[in-house]
Amino acid sequence: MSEKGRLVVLGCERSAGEARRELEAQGHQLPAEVEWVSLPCGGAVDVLHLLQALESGAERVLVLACYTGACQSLEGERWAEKRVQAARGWLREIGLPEERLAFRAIAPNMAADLAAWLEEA
Amino acid sequence: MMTQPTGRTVLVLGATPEAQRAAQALQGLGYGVIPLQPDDLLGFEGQVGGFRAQVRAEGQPQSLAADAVMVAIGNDRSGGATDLPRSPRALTASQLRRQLEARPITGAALPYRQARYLLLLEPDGQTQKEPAVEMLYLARDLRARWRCEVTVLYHELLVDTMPLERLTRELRQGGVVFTRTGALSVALDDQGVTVTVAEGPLRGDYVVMAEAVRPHADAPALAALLQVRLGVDGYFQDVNIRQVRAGPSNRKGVYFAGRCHLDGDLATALADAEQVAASVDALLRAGPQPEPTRAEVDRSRCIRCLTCVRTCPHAAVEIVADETSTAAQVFALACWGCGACAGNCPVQAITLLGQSAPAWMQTAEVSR
Repeated sequence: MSEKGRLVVLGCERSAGEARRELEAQGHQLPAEVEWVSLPCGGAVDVLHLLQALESGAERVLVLACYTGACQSLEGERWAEKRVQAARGWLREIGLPEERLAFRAIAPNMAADLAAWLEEA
Repeated sequence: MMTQPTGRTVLVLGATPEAQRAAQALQGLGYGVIPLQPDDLLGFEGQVGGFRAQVRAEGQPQSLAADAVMVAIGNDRSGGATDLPRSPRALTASQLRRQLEARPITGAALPYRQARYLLLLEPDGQTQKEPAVEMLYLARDLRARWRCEVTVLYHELLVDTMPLERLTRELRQGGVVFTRTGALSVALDDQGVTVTVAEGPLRGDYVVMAEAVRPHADAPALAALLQVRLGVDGYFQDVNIRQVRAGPSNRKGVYFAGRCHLDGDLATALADAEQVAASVDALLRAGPQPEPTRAEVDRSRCIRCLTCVRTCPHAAVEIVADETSTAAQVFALACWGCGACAGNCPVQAITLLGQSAPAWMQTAEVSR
């Protein structure tokens, strides 16, 4: 396990999930420190989930949802990004580094980008 | 061969060629069809397999049951560029088409023959498929029937559909001149018309303008009534570009067909109507099924704040009273299982059935 600590990824099944499957089909393994939580849509991310992930010992949390306009449920990525921003604000308030929470838009064909993000996150 | 009736009914909104084609296709698949003008729809509720529409029929309000709905109201015409002076030498596409189709040929049509035509394909500066294809058919008929000289003036002309690609190739081979222009100005006089482009003036006898299309005037009201989305361009918006099936809206059981949701010529719209009829059939044939992942409300936790009703992108949540309580209810058949309601619920009263979650992602006790 790397020194970076546990990374929780909350990923939309329709975009991030597809990218992950593509990555695995190419023979890549997810890094050992990554805990992947599949969500039906970015809109299902609750601020509580983000805080629970940190509470459970995650060093960082990465939320992955579709690009604007690509969400099957229309605005899921907007909800997801807003909640990450809200939770980052709370971290700021209590003096924790807000960088521990991140949001990224992803498309199903972005397996290579996903691999890079998981390495660097 | 007789098609076995399915016992299911589809409400088809609109009196367009694509609505007619969709109705034919649905009837061919064994569905009952209720044709309806959009302004006769007064109210709409329920979910796929059990919609109820309040309609005006022969001046009287009535309630109708339908399993699915197809919106095929088409688009509206703007009538051509409005900044050109009115002149017998400036024609809209439909004015010229009427002259071309006039039977018997009258003396009034004679000056239009063997003349030089300048066709403005994109008066608003961008390609719209339906008016562009109509203009190219006009160019073809002007050449073939009246032996006219035809120059098509265009800005971008994206030939990304079969009719456009085929027509432009045929017309070029047939002697129609295509000239790409930037900004242009039109001057009319008694003898003819001058269109000035960057390379210089082009002289003709007539200038013909494509009639731009725009979203149907009833689209916003209809979208609000059906709780479906319009795109930023004002046309009905399919739920997602990755959908395999044609025409689904954000509300399960409501579909869009033809020119109310796509930029296409009539042939494309008719083909689309058939594909959307197949989508409806795929949904209804075996009876609508709930998604494996779907939301469920814990009625004892619900505080009736309406957040889920407001935020559900699929019109699947309502406040419902039963014998013991009044609370939000997610309709299983209408739910897509996206979890937007669960993520938004301020008291964590909504859970996603069929969704596994790690132990740390527990629903916390929330004070009310």
